[in-house]
Amino acid sequence: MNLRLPLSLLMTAAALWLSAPEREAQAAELATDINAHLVAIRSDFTGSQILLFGAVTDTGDILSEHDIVIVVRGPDVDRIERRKERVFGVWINRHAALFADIPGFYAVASTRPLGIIAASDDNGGESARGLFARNAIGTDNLRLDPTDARSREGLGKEESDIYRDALLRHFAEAGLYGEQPGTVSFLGDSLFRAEMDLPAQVPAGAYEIEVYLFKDGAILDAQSLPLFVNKIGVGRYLFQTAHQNPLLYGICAVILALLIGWLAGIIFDRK
Amino acid sequence: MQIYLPVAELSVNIFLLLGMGAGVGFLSGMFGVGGGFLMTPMLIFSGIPPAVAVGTEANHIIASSISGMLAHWRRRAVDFRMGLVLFAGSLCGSIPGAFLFRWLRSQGQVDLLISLSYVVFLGGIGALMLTESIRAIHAGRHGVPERERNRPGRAMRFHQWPLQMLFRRSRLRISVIPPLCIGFVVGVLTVLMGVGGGFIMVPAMIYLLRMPTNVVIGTSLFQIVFATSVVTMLHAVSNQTVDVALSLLLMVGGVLGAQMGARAGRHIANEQLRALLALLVLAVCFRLGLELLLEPADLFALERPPPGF
Repeated sequence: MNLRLPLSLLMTAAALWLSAPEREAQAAELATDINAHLVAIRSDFTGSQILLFGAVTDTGDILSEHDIVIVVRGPDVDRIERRKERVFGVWINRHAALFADIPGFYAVASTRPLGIIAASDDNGGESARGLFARNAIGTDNLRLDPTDARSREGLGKEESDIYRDALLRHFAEAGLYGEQPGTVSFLGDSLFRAEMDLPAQVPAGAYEIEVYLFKDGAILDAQSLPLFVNKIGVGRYLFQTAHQNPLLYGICAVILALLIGWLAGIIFDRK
Repeated sequence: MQIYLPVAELSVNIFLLLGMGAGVGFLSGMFGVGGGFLMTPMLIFSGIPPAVAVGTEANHIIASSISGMLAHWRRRAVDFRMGLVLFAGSLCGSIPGAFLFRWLRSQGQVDLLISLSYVVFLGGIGALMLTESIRAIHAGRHGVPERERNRPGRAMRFHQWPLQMLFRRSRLRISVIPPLCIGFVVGVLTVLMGVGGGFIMVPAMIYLLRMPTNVVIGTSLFQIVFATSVVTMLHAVSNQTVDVALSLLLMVGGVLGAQMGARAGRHIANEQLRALLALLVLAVCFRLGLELLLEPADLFALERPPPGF
C-alpha cells in the first residue's frame, strides 16, 4: 500500500503530542480491534462482515459527545472506465479513462456524517476538516485522477469529473466504496462497535483500517489496524495458475475436458 | 447457491450454469449440433464477460465433442487425412485470430466484435434453417420427395487446383486448397466466437468438397476436438479468459442434457423442432442485435485492464 497513510498518522500523532499540554483534560486514548484479521475468499464466498470494536480510555467526559471515524482501505488496483457512444447506429466503446492505483475497497463508518463532524470544528487544534482532506477521508477526498486510456495524458476537469462520477457509482453499486454515517454505535461509557460489509467482489490483498477519535471536530487519537483478504482453496490456486503459469493452466484445461468428455462417453455408452 | 468463478471473478448461481449446460446439451443432443453458438450468447446474457464466455466455451466444446469423435472413430467414420488438412487450415485462422482478439480486447472492442459476429452468423444460420425446415414441412405435407442435392465424389472446378491429395476414406482426390480454406474460416470462427464451427464445416464438406455423408460428422468432430484444444490454449495463454470452474459446470450439465436430448430426438419427427430451433437461434440473434442498437442503461462500463493493455 502507499506510504502516505502511516506517515500522516505519524504526523497526526505528533500534532497530538505537541498540543498535549493544553489538552490534559482530554487525553483520551483509543484501544481497538477487529473480530478477525484474515478474511478468506473461498469458492462459495458471497461477502463477509467485519466487526470492529474498541474502547476509549480517560475520556474525562461522556463518550457519546465524541465522534469516531473508521476508514477501511483495500489494496490499490487499476481500473478502466469505458464510455459508449453511438456510431452508425451502434453503441460502442469510444473513449476510456484509466484510474491507476486507486483503492480497490474504501469504506468509511462514522458516528455522524463527516460533514457534520468537520463543521463542529470550534477550536484551534488539529481540525477534522484539514485531516479529512490530507488523509483522504471521505469519498470526496479520495484522489481519483483519471488519465486518457490511450495516450495516458491527464483529462480536463469536466471529462475527469464525468469519469470519476461513473467510477464512484460503479464502485458504490458493487458495495466497494461507501460512507455509512451513524454505523458506529456507543455501548455504555467507554465502548463502541461498528459492523462493515465486505461484498462478494472485494479485491484480495492487504487492507488498512484507520480509527480516528474526535471531540468537537478536533482529533484526539488515531489508530491503525491491518486486515488481510485472501483468496484460498482451489479458487486461489486456479486464479494464480491462470495468470502466472497460463501454459500449464491451458494444458490442464484441455486434458480435463478430454477426460470428462471421454468418461461421459464410456458411462453412457454402457447403459 | 452461488459459486465464485475464479477467472471470471464473479459469483454466479450454480444451478443456472448447470441448467444452461443441460438445456444447450439437450438441444445439441436432439439436433446433433455442437451448441457452442447457443452457449456463448447464453453465457453473455447471464453476465459472464464476453471474452471469458468465448474462451471458456472453446474449452467446453472439447468435452462435448470427444466422445462423439471416438464413437465415429470406432465405426471408421473419420477421414484422418482430411481432418488434419482442415486442422492445419484452422491453425492458420486461429493463431492470428488470437492476436487480433487480444489486441481488440486491449482497445475495449472485443465485446463488439463478438456481438457483431454472432448477430451476422446466427442471423444467417437461423434464416437458412428456418427456410429449409419450412420447405421440408411443406414438402412432407405434399408428399414431394426431397431433392437429392448431394452426389458424393462429383468433381467441382476448384477440386482440380494444384496440390492434389488422395483422401482414401472420402474416396476423393482433390486439391488441399479448398479444405485448407474451409479450415481457415472455421479456425477464425472458433477463436473469435467460441464455437466448434460444425454448422459451417458439415455443409461445406458435403456441398463443396463432396465428401460422402458417412464420414462428414466424424471428420468434423475430429477437427473440432483438435481446433478447440488449440484455441483453449491460445485463450489461456494470451488472454487468460478460460474459466475451468465455469466450463466444468457446463460439462456436467451438458453431458446429462445431451443424453436426454439424444433420447428425445429419436422419438420425435424433427422438421417442426428444427423450425423451433431456428426461431430460437433468431431470437438470440435479435436480442444481441437489440443490445447493440438500443441506448444502454449505463453508458459507462468498468473493467480491469486486460493483458496487453
